Amino acid sequence: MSGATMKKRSLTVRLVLTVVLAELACALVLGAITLLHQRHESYKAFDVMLQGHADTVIGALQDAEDPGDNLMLTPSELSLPREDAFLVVTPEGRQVGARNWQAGFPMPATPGWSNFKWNHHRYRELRIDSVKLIDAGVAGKGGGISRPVEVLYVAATGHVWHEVLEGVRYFLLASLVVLTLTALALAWFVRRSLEPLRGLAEEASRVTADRWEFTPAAEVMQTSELAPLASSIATLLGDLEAEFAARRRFVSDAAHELKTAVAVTKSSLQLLTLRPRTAEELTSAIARPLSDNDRMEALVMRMLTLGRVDEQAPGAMEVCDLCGIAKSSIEALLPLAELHGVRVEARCGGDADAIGARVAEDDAVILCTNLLSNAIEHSARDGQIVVEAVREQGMPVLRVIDHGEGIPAEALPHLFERFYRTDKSRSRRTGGSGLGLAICKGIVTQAGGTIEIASEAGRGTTVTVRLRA
Amino acid sequence: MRVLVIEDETRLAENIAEALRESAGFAVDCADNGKDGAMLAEFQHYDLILLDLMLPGLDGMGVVEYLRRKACSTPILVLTAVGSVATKIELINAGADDYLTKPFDLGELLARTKALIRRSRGAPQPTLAVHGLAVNTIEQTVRAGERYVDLSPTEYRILEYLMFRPRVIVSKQELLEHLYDFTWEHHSNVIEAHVSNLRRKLKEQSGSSVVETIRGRGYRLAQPEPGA
Repeated sequence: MSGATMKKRSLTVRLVLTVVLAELACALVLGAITLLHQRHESYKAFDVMLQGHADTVIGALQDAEDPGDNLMLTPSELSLPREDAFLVVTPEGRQVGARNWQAGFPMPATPGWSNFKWNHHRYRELRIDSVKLIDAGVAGKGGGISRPVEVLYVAATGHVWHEVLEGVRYFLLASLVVLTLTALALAWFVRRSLEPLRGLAEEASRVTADRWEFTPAAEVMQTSELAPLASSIATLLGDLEAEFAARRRFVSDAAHELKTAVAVTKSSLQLLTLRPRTAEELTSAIARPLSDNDRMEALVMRMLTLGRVDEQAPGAMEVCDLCGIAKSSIEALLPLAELHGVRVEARCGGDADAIGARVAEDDAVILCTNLLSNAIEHSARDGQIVVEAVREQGMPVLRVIDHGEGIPAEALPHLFERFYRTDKSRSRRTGGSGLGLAICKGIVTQAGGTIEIASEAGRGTTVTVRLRA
Repeated sequence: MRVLVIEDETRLAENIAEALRESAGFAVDCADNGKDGAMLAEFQHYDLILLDLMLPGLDGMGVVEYLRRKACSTPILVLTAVGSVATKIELINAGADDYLTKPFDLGELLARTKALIRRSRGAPQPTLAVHGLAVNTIEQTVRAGERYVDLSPTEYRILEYLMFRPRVIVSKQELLEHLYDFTWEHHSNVIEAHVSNLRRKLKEQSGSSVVETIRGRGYRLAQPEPGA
């Protein structure tokens, strides 16, 4: 089996794999988009929160008691996340307030956002420049002293990332579950959908040279993709079976004919050995097996001709003159015609124009002599035969018309079958092999033409061959 | 003995007929189709029928079935180019007695033909003995002790036929039917002449009258004396 050497691919696996991979790609793209979006949103929220916290620091700064010029913040009074750090300094560099501030934290030169990494952790920092009003007096009256301050607020971003990743992980997990479920469902569904295909293959595999039966299940014929395949297989098998049966019949018929021919020759020879014979007796008696042998040779030649005509691929053929072929066939069969006391006449259409037909010349001669010798053998003494080569509607036509005994209607459909004889014993006596018309049919089909026989018992037979110009 | 050959291949039929006439001394008729063959076999008394299987019209199987249905008990030897076992079984079950595949050996055909005739006559041995005479049906010779009796082919055939039908009175008509085919003209006085020659020759050799004439009815092989 070829399956052992060639790797087989499962349609189911491929289909499921394709769909699952497509789904996976979708999930990944969606995951990436979600990740980016989530990160963006989280950072926005984080920044808003950070801003808020920084504002809280500034608020606390405004509320702070300031005896003298000493601005001081008490961090413990502020409600801010414990891990966050802040630093409030005056432009001169005097520290006004701080919490969790590490010496390594950068101090940006301009207000705004910045990121930095410290001690393996990521941080985000906001610098706000603000003014501390000291002794503002009654609001709206103006006056008092204003002191500029810089507020630096720092928060670790680690947990933002953690939140984002957590969200994406959840998404991916859900995707994976959905993927697995769809893969299973798909595999089941595809298998089920392909069931008719499997049935078709099984049915087809049951066909052998002895069992040609091919009846695909109803579900196959109801599947629009499979119905044409199944019906073309059925048609093909029907044709093959017919062809196979025809070949088998031909072989068995040929074997029968040959065995009979050999039996005749053998018996003729053995007859000579049954008793002692004189040299003269032998010499004259040897003619019998010799003539038997000639008949066998003719039979073999005809079988070979048939085989050749059957096998030849129809190709470009020379154009030959039907009229000339009709005339030469008549000449060749003149002795036979005289023996049967039959007159044969050639009738060519047109003013001695050549009737060009597309057929191999050797084949055309075989065709014409076969038809003519049939006509002669089935004609009564003093009968007349016409071989006509004409052009009808521009196409070359060869007709052999006899006025002999005709062919029984029930025999007409079988005439072109191999080894078919209308009257077996008679044809045997006249040396017919039952292959002549099969050969004619083969030649005409090869040349792309048609052959038909019209006959009326007792009134004669007309064979019409239409060829291509 | 008279044999019918039903064979559409006329050349083969001729050869078989010639072989049967020449080397077995049989009378042979031929038919080239099943229908004629069946008719001949039904209305003539043949000792054996040689039948081709593939025949135009009624085929060999049809002939066998027809004849057996008509209670014809003549042995049938079928000749055919179809060598399948199924066909052979079918034929023999239909009532055929033996089977030969084409191309066959004429010698084998002759041997089987003779054997079938012997068996149908209830005498399976090839040599028949009566009244001190030994009749060898293979060599077609008659011996009295050590000496050969010189018989003409027709005389031998009459003796052989009578020996195959011991104790039965055989009419002149029956002898004519079994010893001559349709190519001969039937004259019963021909038989009388041959029988009288045969009787004379046998009496010279064996000393006893072997062939009895039953007036008005025919001939019979004389009953051997008790103790002889």
